[in-house]
Amino acid sequence: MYKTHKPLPFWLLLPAIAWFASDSGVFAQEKTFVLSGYVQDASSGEQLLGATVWHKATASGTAANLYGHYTIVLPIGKQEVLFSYLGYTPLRLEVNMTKDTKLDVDLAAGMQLGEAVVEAGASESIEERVQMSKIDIPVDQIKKLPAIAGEVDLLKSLQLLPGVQSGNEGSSGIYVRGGSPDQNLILLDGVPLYSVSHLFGFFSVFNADAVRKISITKGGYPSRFGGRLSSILEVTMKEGHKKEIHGAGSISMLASKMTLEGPLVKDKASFMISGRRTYLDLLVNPIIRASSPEDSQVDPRYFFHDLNAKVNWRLGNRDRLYLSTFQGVDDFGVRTKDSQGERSEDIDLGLDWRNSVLALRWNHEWGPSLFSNLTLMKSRYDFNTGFDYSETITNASNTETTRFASLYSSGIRDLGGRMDFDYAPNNRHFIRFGGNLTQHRFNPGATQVILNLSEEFDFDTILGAPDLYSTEAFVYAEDEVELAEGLKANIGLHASTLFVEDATYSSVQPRLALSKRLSSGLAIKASYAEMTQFVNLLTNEGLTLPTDLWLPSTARIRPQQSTQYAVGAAKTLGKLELSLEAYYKDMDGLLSYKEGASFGSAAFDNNGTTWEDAVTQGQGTSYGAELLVQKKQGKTSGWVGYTLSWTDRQFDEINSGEWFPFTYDRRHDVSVVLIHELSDKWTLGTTWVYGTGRALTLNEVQYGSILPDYNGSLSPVTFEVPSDRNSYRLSPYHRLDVSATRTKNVKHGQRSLVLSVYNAYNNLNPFLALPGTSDEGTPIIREYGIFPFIPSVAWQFEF
Amino acid sequence: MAIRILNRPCLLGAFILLVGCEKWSDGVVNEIEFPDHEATTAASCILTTGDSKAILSVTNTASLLSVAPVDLPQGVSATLQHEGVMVLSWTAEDVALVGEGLDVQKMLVLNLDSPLNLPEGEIELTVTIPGEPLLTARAIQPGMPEVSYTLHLGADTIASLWGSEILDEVGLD
Repeated sequence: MYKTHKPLPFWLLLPAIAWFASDSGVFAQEKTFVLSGYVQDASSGEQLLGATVWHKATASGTAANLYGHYTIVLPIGKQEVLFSYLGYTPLRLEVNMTKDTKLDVDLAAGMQLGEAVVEAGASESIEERVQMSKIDIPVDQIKKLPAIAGEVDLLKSLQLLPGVQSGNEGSSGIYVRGGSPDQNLILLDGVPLYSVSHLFGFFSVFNADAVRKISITKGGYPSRFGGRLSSILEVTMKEGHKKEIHGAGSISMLASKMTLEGPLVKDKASFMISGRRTYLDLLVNPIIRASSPEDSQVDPRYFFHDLNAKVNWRLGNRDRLYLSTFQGVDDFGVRTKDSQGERSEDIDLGLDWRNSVLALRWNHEWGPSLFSNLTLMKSRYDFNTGFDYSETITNASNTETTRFASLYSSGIRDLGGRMDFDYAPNNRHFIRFGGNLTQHRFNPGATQVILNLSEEFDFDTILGAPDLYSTEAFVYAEDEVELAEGLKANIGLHASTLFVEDATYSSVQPRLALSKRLSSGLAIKASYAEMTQFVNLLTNEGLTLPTDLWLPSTARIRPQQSTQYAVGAAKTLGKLELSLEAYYKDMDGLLSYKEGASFGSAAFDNNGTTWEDAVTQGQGTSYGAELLVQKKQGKTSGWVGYTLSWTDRQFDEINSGEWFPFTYDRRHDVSVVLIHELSDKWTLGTTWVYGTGRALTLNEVQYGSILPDYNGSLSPVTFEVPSDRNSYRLSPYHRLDVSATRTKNVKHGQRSLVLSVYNAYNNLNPFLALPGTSDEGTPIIREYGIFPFIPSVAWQFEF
Repeated sequence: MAIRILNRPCLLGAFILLVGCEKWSDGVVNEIEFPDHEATTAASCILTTGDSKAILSVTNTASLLSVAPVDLPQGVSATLQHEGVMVLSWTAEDVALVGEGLDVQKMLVLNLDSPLNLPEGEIELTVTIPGEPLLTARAIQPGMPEVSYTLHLGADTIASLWGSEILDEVGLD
């Protein structure tokens, strides 16, 4: 039994004391009733997640949960309640509260004149929220941003936020506040997704047409989340239009996609299905086949496709059922067939990776104040690579086939369930509690070797480590409480346990967020969060690849842990939301390959060593400040973000045990995102990013030596000695993307033509650096980029 | 001329694309400054009992961006002692080129009169370069494992991808 928690700091008890005081006579209330229900889109019937409900008379409000369900406690008698949601006309309703009342509210999309300004507090402004370090970006806004190859990418849009960094050029991986990619909990409809990359990471798996809402939390995590150190990325799929059939699609230079949604039973059940596929292989293969010799057939393949589907069903007034799935496949390889006389040869080599997620969720209203959600889920990620060679000799008497194949596979499979409760006893407390149980099965890499030489010699075996099983469980409780006028807190506890092999790890993680609204309207916020992570991604620091291995903590590999402190200020100025945050995060149990080890050494060494021998564990720190100025609606919208940060790591077995900068330690990171609607027809989008160059290790020194060559003779060699880890920097990264969208309304919908230019001023941003020679013959370090100026066009339609 | 090009978006686009392609293939030179390197000496020697030659590589170290190649320092000499007893001695006269073609390097090479015998024990390599501090390296020569075996030539024949192969068999006694 390993306990990974530390004693709770005494000062964490202070808000708890205040919490008890919050229910004292100071806040004693008159007779009240509960108003509850769903807030939904009037046109489609889809739930509006996070819609705000505001009662002016008591200056109290609430936000709808992830399922659009709200609960507010109101005094007896006639009460005026305001319902609002970003981009929708606010609705003011008079409700006669003589008993607990259930009321589903429909809001109409679009702002009507005279409704644009509503009273303070009517919408949940940034200073009203207790939660800090959380950013929502409207999906409609993301769709108007310039996109490489015309393919809108949600994760690349998140990279434009302060505190969120991209990896290499073009990569859709995200590095949040100095964390690694595996430290992001990516939830698709509440289910963890283990790989989010298509096309070796250049595109993410999220199809913008299928997504309703996306948000990222970088710190101050509420207790309901756990299991990762650096961020929570919540992606919610569309539910589907409940009233009529609608569709959308696009044809871009990379892929085509189509989305269809509509009612299964009007106003009661709906569906959404969205698919996407690339077609480079379909275009190129006929040309390659045509140019191949007659006795040879070459079939290269590269494609990715994904499918999102969701069905939701309203079962009476109190129950709703949601079934959602995601399936994604990338396949890359080549198959060659040659035949000469009696002999034919077939070689197939390649790699593929696939993701699948299945979630069944059941919402139930137990009463006016108690709401629950049960999630049953399955998540799976598989990676396969290898080659398969076969030779067939056919003659008059018989056919002889020999085969040699080496097929490597790795992956992770999760099965689990989760129960969450929302309980609102009064307007000063919003309590959430629940638990989760997940069983993980890890395939840490196994190679199937097939050697079939004759009927007598048939060899088929699997080399590699056996599957690993672990069980992860957690319970949590949190209360979003108004401690005093203008002072809100979210106080919670998250307790988790991992059972793996013969080891048990347990961890108690306190979470605290405070928000104090000053008379000037400025909100001062602070948060404290401890996190523990039981799964690790064994990856190359410089590049996230599908070969990366998901592995559990084991008896030898302790869990990752972090403690994050953050303070900040937030204010709304007109239509602008401003936030400034500073954070400090320390991390322990970070996993890295030892010097010289890699995917190959972990996967293919069969000399008695395992992946655990190829890795080492260490610690890290990250601190910095982030500024965000965001405008979410209007003719001109977008944001400006700036991050100043430092991130360092230390491993006893790397860099002689000395601290070194993390690869993505980026001192300055700037992003400017602007969307302007020129007219009903034209919309312009532009993004500009600047970032300090990536840290890298270069070979610095050379010397001569000798080594035995292939026949044992000693031959001269020149050895190169690397610098201290990550002691050099690539050139700063900067890039401008622009787009223009022309939209035309037609009889049954809309057509849009999107012209985009990636890297408009053609700055070749460095992807890697290699030693080379100048034109004068002197040695130099030369940087290579991969994406120059790339124009693209896409055609979109909606009906 | 420049203004005319700028007035035509297609031409401007094509120009940017051309410049982009050139950058893409050639890369971009980043003037990374390496710290000044203070050269030291690196010596390497691989010896096996039974060798007829004793080759010792001695070079200075140099920055990777240095134009001058690494080379054998002038006037270098060296000795190898086994348990305090001199076994080998290289002098500045023993310089020879090792390697083939363009891949050659000056090293100290001793042609031995009889096969080298290095029994178990501590060996010490000392390299002397005029004007430089003495360079010393020590290593433990492990004992020679004693194994007796029986060799059966042509003990088996198998069919493989490359045709029929004859296998010898070594049996450890």
